[in-house]
Amino acid sequence: MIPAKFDYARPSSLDEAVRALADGGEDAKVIAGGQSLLPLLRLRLAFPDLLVDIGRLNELRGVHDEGATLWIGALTTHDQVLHDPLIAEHCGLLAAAAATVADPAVRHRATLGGSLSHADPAADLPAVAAALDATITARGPAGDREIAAADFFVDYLTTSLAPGEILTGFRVPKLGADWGYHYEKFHRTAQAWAIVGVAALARRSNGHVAEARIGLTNMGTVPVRARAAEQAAAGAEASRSALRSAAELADAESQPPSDLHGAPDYRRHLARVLTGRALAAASRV
Amino acid sequence: MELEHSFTIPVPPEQAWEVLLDVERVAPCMPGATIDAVDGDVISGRIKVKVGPIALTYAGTARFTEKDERSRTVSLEASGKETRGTGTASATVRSTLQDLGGQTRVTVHTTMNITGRPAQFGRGVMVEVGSKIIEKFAQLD
Repeated sequence: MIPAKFDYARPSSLDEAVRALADGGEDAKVIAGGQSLLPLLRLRLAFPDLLVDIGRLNELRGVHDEGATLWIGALTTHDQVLHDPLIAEHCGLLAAAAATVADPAVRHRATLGGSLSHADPAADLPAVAAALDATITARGPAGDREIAAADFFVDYLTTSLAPGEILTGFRVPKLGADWGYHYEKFHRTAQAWAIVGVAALARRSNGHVAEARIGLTNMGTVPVRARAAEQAAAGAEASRSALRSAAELADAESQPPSDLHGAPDYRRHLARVLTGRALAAASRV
Repeated sequence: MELEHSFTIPVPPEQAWEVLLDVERVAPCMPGATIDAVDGDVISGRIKVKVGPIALTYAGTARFTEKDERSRTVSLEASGKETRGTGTASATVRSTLQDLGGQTRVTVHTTMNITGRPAQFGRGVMVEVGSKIIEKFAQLD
């Protein structure tokens, strides 16, 4: 279908974009790669009065080394994330998950900021942001703000961005070489959304898992940290059987949805099995 | 699709009954709802439901089909069409008031049928959205 009518602005600076968005009121939306918003417009599920296209804001592109952290601009595409050497070295989990998103054509258009601000519980990168303990950077009429990933996702397709605020990037603490990672995604066809996804990070020490972090995709209205399984994995022997029993707690904090792709019990089962696999891969066993 | 919600209001059932049946008085408490006209037991109006970037507006009518003061049960049948799409929504809402000694527990049982694009959201999201709407509706301020 052809989208309903909307006004269109393409500002050339971030402050101009913030002003345009704030002036547009509650029915103004930011558009970047358009890989989530355009389908909604074409299906006539969204009817914004104004689209603010931030595609020209080159200050929001690229990966910046800040010492202990990396800052990744909101307009960085999934494909750039996939091929960036700094991301590969310091937070490879992000690239591993981005590689599973849709297909190459989509990954060349889709942006990191778009994926996070759309906040689809079935999208892969929000759970990765949660597992990485990332912070989201945003600018609004009141200035710049940093929001912890845990506070950023508030509900189905809903973030804590205020009206008029634009997601500018993503700050992630660098992980040392002793951290392993794995993104385990279960979907029925190659380009489909995750029925359940598991983002796992594990730090190994002396044949044991010293520390683990687990983020779950599509196990609630927001990405879920599997804290109970993280605690069970910490100190466990780096073996498949030990990690599998830690993963038995993977769904403890979840409230999985029920839809055409699976009932909650099925998703809980998937989360436990996939977490076992993801932890084992992240711990390199 | 069947949904079940409940909430408690800090007034006795007699008072709650009066207020909840006064459509023009309670409609502003319903997030996104606008009443266009009330004609006897038939109410026509619109409801706008927002979920992130998705905004759906349904226009239609609702009709009281049961008002039983003795069992404190009221039933409402509503049906509407998307104002900017081709989808439809219809619902039968049966509410029961229960006396909790000075307070009232309202149980809302909804049987809902949704067609068109919004139907693809599935039940999980519908329950979430429904709960949020009822939660806001029941808020005191």
